[in-house]
Amino acid sequence: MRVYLSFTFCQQNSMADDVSLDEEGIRKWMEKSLDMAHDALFNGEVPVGCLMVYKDEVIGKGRNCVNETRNATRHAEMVAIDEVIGWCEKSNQVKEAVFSKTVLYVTVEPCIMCAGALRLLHVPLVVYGCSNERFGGCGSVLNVHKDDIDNHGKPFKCISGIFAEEAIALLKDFYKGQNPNAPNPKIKP
Amino acid sequence: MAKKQKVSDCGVDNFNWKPTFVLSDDDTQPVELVNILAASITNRQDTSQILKSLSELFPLNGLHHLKRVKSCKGETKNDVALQIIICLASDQHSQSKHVSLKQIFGDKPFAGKGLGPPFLTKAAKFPPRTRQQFKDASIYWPTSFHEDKHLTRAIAGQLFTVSEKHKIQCYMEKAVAVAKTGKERGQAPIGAVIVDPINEEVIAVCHDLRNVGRHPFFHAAMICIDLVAASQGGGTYKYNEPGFYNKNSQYNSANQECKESSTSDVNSISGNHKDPCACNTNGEDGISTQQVTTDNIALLSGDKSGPYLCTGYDLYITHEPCIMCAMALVHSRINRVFYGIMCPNGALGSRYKIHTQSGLNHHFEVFKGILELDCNQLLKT
Ligand SMILES: [Zn+2]
Ligand SMILES: [Zn+2]
Repeated sequence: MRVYLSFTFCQQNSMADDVSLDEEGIRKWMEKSLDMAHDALFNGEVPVGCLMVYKDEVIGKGRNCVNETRNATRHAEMVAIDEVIGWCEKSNQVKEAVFSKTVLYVTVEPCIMCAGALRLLHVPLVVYGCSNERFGGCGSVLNVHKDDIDNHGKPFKCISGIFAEEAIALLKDFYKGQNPNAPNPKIKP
Repeated sequence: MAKKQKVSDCGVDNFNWKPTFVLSDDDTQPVELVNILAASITNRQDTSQILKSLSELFPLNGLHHLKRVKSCKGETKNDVALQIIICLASDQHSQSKHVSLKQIFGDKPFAGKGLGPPFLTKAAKFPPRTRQQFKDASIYWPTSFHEDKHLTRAIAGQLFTVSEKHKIQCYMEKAVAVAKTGKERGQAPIGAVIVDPINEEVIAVCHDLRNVGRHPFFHAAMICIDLVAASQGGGTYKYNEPGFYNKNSQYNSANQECKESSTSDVNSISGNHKDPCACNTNGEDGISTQQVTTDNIALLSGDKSGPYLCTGYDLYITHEPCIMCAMALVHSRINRVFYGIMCPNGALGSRYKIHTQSGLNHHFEVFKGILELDCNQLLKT
């Protein structure tokens, strides 16, 4: 498994001030995100999982739970964001300050909705596995991550391709199990 | 608040708002042009032979919407001349001042016999989608037009009958009313209502809750989607706000005013349908205070044939949804969206047109300008 990383990219953009990243950490958090995606698959949900990491601490985890809630907006990212908000309230932290220094690790490129949500919170960096050709908001369908949008703060950076094959394998498993006639997910590494 | 339409006014279109269909960029963009080489046909009798030769020699790949032959005014008053497209102009053709038949045909067997001197002109690159694009394209060179009648009516603002406009107004009045409630409580003055248009049933009502100590994603559209989920035995959050409603809630008895028919069904499409003109007759507080519970989750294991997400449902919302909300509506398979006023960061017409975004698996129609004045008024103190 190759990890495509560019730390210079982060430092150039003074990202290092806001969030700390190292290759080992990225692999560790992405592996945990994949565990969350497995959990989704086990529960009959589209297997996408994520973590939100603040100062080297996981303050939110999420996996898809659209079927369970009958709410099509319950993507892994939205679930994790709820946990972060809960964490902020419990530990008396200012949400805005926390989100602006939190990294999202997610197995699949955030969709247009989630990318918009992350912009609203000023999350600075997203590390993801495979791209999301159907709904992706970080380059695949739209560039919500970097477009100039009124009231949506600064663009966020993306690092992609981390454990992409594992993320795709899970999605393939899901669509195979769901409906043998369903086409393979149009998701490419 | 817009003047309530009296039942006796039902046949008259005296609304102070009009639904504006929010078109895709493909439908609004100016006609894109390509350079073509054309020539007059010297002898009309040769037309079919020339047409046949040219079609074989230079098929108009990707430009089949263009009529190959065009008639135009001749030199004398009643004279009609014919012109024909020879081929698509190359960059070289387009740059040179003069192109001869020899340059075009070289030593091909058909050397342009029967054609006048070739000239460079322009034609529409793509088939027109709207009547306006058809008109604009035809100025350059005639093109075929497969009119989408529904689209033409939508653009002309002729999609809804007076009776349907009454219903649209009624539901938007509900959204405005609940937005006012939210405003009084220090929230953004944005209200939303989700309706099943077939059964004329209100499924969910809420206002925005993004301000003041609640969740930053509690935008009216997001909450409404969650209330619909709650009405189907799902849902994520509990809301405890006055004016909120979902159809499965135990306190819903007071919210029947849009269904409960009163006086006249004259303008309804079917006699079985209730007249929403009767809406609001018992005042704005007809929506009950209630609490969404997630106890209903037990229902999940049961009926799978029930309503699915927001399939078939319409959203009425005072303000244009943002990118997050707009995509949430795509994921939720909303049927149509009616909104009041545009927002600079809006994603259903302003910053993006998510409802027409190519590549997505669900598209829907969007109408703006519903009770525009009332929605605008919400923003004022
Ligand atoms: Zn998403
Ligand atoms: Zn929104």
